[in-house]
Amino acid sequence: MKRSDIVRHVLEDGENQELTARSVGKIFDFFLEEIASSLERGEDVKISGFGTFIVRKIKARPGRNPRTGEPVPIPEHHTVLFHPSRSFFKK
Amino acid sequence: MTRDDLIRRIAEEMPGISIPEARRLILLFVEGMKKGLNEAENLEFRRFGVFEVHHRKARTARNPRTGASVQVGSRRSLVFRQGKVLKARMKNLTKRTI
Repeated sequence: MKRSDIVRHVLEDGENQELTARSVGKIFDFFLEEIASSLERGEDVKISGFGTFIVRKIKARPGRNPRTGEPVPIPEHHTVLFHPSRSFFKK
Repeated sequence: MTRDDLIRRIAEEMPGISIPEARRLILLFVEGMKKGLNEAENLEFRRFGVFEVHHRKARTARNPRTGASVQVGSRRSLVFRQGKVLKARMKNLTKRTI
């Protein structure tokens, strides 16, 4: 499933009046962009009924190149975790 | 940032979209995404990331308090993997905080 499937889902809603696929796509892009920029600022994003995106700091640790076995340091970095809302897999 | 903040931001920045309309759209986005994931389909958004449905097998676990064996049924879990662009953007945060 991808962006175009989400756009189609919105357009199929009975209450949809005048929105075009292009404008729904634009709004969806803006929605993802707002989430990404909040995460980039280090702020978690909580979407009720869907889940929470959490920014987590990962400490530096020694790693290895799995192919050669050569030690490679992994520097401190940030990553995004997602915790699905509890309502998720119930239908 | 919460869902309400996102609704407000959409209404502010997208021409012709009111707050109630932005709310309707976000609810539809979430509903659409959940529908796909419930059908065990992965969700893939370029530059943002992928939501993957993982299947966990049924297993015998133990109640850590009593040590009694408990059967845990098969279940699904959801894993988010950041896309390349989002991963690169998170580096900006790392740079700023070091």
